[in-house]
Amino acid sequence: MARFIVIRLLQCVVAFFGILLITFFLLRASGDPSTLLASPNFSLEQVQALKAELGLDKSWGEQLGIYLNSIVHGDFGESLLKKKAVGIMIGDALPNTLKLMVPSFVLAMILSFILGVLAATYRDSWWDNLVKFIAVLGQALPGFWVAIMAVLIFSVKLEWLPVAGMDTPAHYILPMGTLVFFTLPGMMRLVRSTMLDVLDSEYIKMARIKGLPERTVIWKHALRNALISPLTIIGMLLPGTVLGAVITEQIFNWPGMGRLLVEATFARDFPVVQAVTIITAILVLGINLLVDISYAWVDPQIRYQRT
Amino acid sequence: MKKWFLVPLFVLLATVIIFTGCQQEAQTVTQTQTQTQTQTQTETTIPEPWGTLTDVAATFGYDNFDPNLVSSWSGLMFQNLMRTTAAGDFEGDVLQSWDLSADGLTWTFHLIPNNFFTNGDPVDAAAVKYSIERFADSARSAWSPYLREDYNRVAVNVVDSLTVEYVTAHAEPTLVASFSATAIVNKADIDRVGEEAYFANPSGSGPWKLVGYSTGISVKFEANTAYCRANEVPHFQFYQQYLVPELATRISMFKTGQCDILGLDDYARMKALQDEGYPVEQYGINGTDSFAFQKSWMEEAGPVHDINIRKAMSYSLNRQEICDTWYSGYAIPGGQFFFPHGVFGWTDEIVADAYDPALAEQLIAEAGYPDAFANPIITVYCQASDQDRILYYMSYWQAVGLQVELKVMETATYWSYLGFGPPPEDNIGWIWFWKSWSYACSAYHCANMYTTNGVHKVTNDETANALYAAVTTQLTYEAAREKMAEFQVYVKGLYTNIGVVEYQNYFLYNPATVGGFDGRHTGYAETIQGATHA
Amino acid sequence: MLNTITTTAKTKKKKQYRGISRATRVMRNLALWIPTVVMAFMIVLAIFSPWIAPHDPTVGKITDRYLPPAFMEGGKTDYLLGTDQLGRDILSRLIYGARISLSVSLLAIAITASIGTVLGIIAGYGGGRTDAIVMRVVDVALSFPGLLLAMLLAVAIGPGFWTVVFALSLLGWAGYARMIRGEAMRLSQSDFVAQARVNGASGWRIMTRHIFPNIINSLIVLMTLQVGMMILAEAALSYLGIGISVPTPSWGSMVSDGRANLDNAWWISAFPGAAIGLVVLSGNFLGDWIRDKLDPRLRQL
Repeated sequence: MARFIVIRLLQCVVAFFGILLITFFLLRASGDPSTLLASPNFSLEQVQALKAELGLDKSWGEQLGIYLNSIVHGDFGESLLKKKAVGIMIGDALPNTLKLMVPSFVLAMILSFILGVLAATYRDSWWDNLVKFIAVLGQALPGFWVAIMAVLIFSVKLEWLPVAGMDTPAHYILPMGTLVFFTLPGMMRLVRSTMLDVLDSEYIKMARIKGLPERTVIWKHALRNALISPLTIIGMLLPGTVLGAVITEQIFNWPGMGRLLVEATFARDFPVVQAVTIITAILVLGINLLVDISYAWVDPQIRYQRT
Repeated sequence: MKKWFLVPLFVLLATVIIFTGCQQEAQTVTQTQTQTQTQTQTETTIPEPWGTLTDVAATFGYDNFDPNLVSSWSGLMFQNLMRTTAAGDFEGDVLQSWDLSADGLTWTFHLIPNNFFTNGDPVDAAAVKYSIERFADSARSAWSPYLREDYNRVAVNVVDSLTVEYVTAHAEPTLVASFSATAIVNKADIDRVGEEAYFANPSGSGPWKLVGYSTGISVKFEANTAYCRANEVPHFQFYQQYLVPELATRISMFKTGQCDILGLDDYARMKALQDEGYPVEQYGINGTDSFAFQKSWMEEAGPVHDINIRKAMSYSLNRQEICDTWYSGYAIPGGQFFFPHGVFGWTDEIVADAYDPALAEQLIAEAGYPDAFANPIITVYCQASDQDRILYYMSYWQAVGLQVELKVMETATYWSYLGFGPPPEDNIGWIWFWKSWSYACSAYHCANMYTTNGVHKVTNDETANALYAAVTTQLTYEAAREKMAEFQVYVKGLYTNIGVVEYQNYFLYNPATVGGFDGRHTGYAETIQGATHA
Repeated sequence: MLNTITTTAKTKKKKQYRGISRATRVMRNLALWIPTVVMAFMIVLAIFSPWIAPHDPTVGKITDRYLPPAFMEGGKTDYLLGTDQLGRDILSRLIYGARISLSVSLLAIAITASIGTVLGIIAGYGGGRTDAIVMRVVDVALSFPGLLLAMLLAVAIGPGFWTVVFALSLLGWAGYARMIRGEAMRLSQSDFVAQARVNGASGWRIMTRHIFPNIINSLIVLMTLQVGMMILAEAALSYLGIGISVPTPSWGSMVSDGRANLDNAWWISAFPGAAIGLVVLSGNFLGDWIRDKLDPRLRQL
């Protein structure tokens, strides 16, 4: 087990540096932030001076060296656009994103479990069809469009909910609703099919043959086994949730990592984009690692297969 | 039994928490009250501002209050050295007056006495000198390079606490343009707390002071009742701006009364709202909408190398129809690059080309188009946000037989091709569009468009260079004004940049809360400053 | 192991046909035919758009802008589904949009599926170090914030048709690779592959002739389900301003552009939105149906 963890950890480190390098060079290939910061009247010398000030006059290799050295020391640099320490910007944005993402993810998870399990249990009933219908409908419309419609209806026309901001619980309803809308259909599908697999398995049949009441069979035996799937689900749906979070933050003007990323990318604000990528990568890799480890812990076969 | 014991304990705890929380709040409220009271006692002549004016913005740009980072809010919080007048001239902002020596080399600035930053520090010569130098050296602004030592600055001298001297190497009356963009920051406070802390919560001397900011959500200003021009103190106590990225949401908020002011650049929507009964307010100088041909002096530029083709592109545009349809009547034909009616150097000799498709076709035939050109396709470049308007213009060109194609570019890449940053080489014969607001004096912008050294790489003409040099080296602003007129008339005939229309700036306001605007109308912020209660 | 699977499949079939009513059977057929017809219809629109569309999708009459659909008050019969902010015909744009949206989606699927399949088979069959290397690359791809990559690409090479295809492909291949690898791994341990190996078949031959044909089923199911996903992803990119921004519209960019007019001209974004919805629904239903027919084990997809 220890060997497995060490190897997976090393692999994560390699993956992390892969991501870091790709971001670093792709960013620099994507254009020059000084074009956006310089004013039209700047002479060539002034543009050069600006580049020197931003540290963009050095070769890419040198820039990478400087950057690696500073992140090892925990310094993410300064935003080119806003002249603000990136660490502080991330410090402001990350909690906001987590405040939105974690409850939505948990809520989506709980809902998808209840709905998915019920749908699988009463397979082909009207209830199952309803769940399938919701799942399909949720995946059928562009999420941003639905979210904007929701703002127009609930915030503007009915004035039930605030348009933007994050001060009161009411501010959380629409963004969370949107995120749940993004993630719920996929999760529900997964839970339903996992549950169906479990219900088809031999030992559930055995339990039924033993004459246990149906309720006990489903809620005690089947569900417990189906619950292993959250591990898979987290791993599989997390990147999708990140995408959903970016769009949700954009629509609801939520000052989190997603909006920071979009803004910074268009402005070619290298240090900010790099920092956001690093943090996201660490989170995603870390969670995937945990998932893998807990899998290996549950199922020893995997330990040998993957090392 | 034990559980029951917990309930009263919890209730007690909750009460304590709520109680202490309330107490703290009450304390802060009384504090602010006493502050306002003392202020009103000293400034008894000013009617107490009240109420909140709510505005929505599509983007905040910078979430920083440093005026050097071109913040849209700096005009609210800071005074500049000079400011523009409704007539398009310049007057002092922190200055009471200024003199320009007879040789044109020495500007003497006389500050308004008894003018204070909101924290009580005086607006003195030291602050002005510091602000000019800071602006020149670190601002990312179009105007700052002209105040640099490597351009035309010899010295900035403090003569006494209310007088500053600005000495140049040669006469340059057009520098007023840069002076009017120089925000005056509080040097004493910066020295005390450092730049970062100062600009997080700056004390300016402008009509508003910052009272609240939540990053990327909303910003709140309070009227500065100690503002140096008592008659220009805002009537509203608070001005709050919310960031609402979606246009549909902003418009709906306005209609339901959730915001009082709505700026729009979608003219059809504005017209529709005006027809519904919402009043509009015009402000500022007209903006201009023009397009330019990069490096058209080169053979390789293709059809647009021929002035007849460029002229044809002007004569084939039905400017009046563009004003009536795209701009829904909020525009007039004419104007040139940063050069609408009423600005520095404007002359009525400049008249927009008439809509004359027959002449356009004749010019095209004279040029031998399309047969004389290996590649008759004229490529037009734009960023995605301008696409609709450009497509509309293209339909006019296609109607007279020009083969035009559109290429949409990513914004930053587009700007780099216009000459920001390192100049790319392949932009020969490119056509690009420029829709922008205007300034009272835009001599420096024109340099980039019409001179050989200009970053946009549009014009390469010795006469134009000489005429521009004359504009910026006169002894007086009046003399420069005449030269500017001469220069603009000449460059129009080059057809390297073609003006389409001058559009007017408006915003809508909610008549239920806002009665009108009694202040200056030189810009958005200045107009809002004068909002009166309904 | 194989035995249990076949028996469960059999029992399931029995269960399905025992109590089935006529109405259910009709519904089942509809679930096949409606999506097929919708998909076919969209493809026909896409192929023959220049002949079907009543107007030029890129040139509008500015005096006719914001016209509501013909069935509403104020609409013109010239413009069945109304006009947009430039007076362009929504119906024509919708028809041409089918072309762009479907091509983007199908191209991206073709690219992701081929890369994913090749890598998946190599990893699954090769095992050992090959597998480890490929799977690490897959891990990087899956944990990379794909949206960031798409945005970087869009700003680096400029927005456009191929940028979007490329960006979507970069996001999608890893999922295929992971699934196909699992299948290939299972197959490479099966008896017939062992037999082929004993008979001296080369690795290449086993991969192409023995493993690949057995993977096609799952591949088709996944690809069908992805048609709609890709169109939605394209719409999301459009919303972020990195979608297709040529004058010829895609459905995604139409929905995205029309969002500014949601309060006064809902038809600009609602009709392309409905088109997207139809294709996504059809894709899903069709995928579900094919999966149920081919291999009920695949319902995890």
